Amino acid sequence: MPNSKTHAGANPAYHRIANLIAWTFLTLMMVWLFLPLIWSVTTTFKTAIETYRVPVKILPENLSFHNYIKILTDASFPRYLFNTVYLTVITTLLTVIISIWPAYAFSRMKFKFQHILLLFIMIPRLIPRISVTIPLYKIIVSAGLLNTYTALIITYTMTSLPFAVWILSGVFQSIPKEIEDSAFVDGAQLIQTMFRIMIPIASSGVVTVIIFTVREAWNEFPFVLSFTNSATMRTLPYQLYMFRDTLGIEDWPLINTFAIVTIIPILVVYFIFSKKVTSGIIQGALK
Amino acid sequence: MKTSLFHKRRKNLMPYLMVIPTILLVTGVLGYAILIALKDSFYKYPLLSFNAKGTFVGFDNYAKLLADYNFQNAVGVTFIFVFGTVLLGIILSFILALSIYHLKNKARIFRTLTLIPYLISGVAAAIMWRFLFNGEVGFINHVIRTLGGTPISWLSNRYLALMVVTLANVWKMFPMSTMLLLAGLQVIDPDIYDAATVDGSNWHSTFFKITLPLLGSYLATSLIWLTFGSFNMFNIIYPLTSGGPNRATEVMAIYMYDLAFQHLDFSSASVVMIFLLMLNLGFSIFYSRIFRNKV
Repeated sequence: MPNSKTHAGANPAYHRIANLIAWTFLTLMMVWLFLPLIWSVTTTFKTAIETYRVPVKILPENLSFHNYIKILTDASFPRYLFNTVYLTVITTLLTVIISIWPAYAFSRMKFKFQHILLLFIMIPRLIPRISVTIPLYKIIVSAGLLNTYTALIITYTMTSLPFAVWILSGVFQSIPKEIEDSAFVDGAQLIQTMFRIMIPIASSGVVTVIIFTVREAWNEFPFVLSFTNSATMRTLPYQLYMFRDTLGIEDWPLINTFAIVTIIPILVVYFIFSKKVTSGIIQGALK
Repeated sequence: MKTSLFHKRRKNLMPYLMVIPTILLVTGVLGYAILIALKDSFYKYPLLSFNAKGTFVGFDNYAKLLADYNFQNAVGVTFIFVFGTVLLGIILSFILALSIYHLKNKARIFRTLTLIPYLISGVAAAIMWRFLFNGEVGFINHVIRTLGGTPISWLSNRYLALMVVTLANVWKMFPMSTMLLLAGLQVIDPDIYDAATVDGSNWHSTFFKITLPLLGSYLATSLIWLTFGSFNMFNIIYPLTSGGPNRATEVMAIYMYDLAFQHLDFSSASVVMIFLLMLNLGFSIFYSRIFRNKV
């Protein structure tokens, strides 16, 4: 596809056709992107019988929130919500607090075995979460940590750290060295430099790390599925999975409502910081 | 004198103190996990007691697995699934990225909206796609019925189920590869296009001779993203089809998971895990060879 800017002055007809093609493609792509979401969201306002009606109607007959009320007032819902929020908050805090130090060390200091140690942290990014689930399960069982927050927090944090170190050391590297007093003698001064200078300047990188870690922890599925079997430990995605599995006759409006309820918080967080996230991804890709 | 030496020591130790917690958590735990799996892949355990002392059986587990029809099936399904995702994913990413790029600021909001499927959980995405293609109440069959056609049982047909799972996966994966391509398009200098227009280059030769080569490294990153994400896909397929019907959508990750947690065969599951890790490694090398000059 040609670049519009170069043709705009030269040939207006060409420009108009190019724009028309771009808008057509964009519309088609948005239909593909939003069709599952729209079908799911509009169903949350329908009754179970309504979903069987032909000819197909996307919009519900009346706007009723009965499914939302049913989900949100369910006795065990607060438990699933608490588990998800708790795991997400602790994992994100731990990830940021732990990752700023190696990020600083790798971007600012020179030390022996630096490259080997960096590789040790970066290679695990290539190891998919699902593939280590089975040996981790064995470790967790032998440590007596099945059905504990500890097991989930450790495994969540561990899989979030490499990405966080990678993003943060990139951001730290782009901060000019003159800004900080590099002649610190002890840990106290280092901590001051970190929290008074580095973190405020690198705030966009920290936000990127927070959003990605929140997304991972909020949506996590294989670990919580494998390392817990008690209903009190379930997170929202786990319960959503159980929900679609246990209902004899599938109440699709109710299932969809649960799905939408689980994704609204993450979308709200995203839209608050969307500019930082998209530019964070693009900057990350440029490195 | 004594204190300054002491401080110097401390300062030399500092970077290691800063790096150690991450190394212990990431390399320590993951490394240990991989070693356990490697050991298990050579051992046999009595059923239901995988923590008991096993017996060393050499490559028996590997031989048994390679001869197993279900394992061969999982490898085949994985490759079809990955190939389908990468092919469709890269085409759709290209179309969307070029459209957003072409429309510049008018399409800014679409850049934000594109990322939505990437943010929602695999389970929620699976539920939506299961509902979309549901036999009785799915949108697709409702449209077919409305048009007077016969509804199709999408998820009970081998080929159609694999297609639905692949489509759902593309839907979840392609936002990120679109963003990566968009990043690449944004760094191409517009002057190059001016020069091409002056030289009388038409749009397709501009695209194939200028845009595509300059996009090289971003295209590579997108392909790597699509490949690795799909190779180890579990989150979408497990809630969508659980690997069915009749193992038609059982990729290696699902096969491994069921071996361990349904059949409690941790030795065979460990062998599948070693194969998965080796395939990941193989693909990393493959991609770094192809894109050696570009990444």
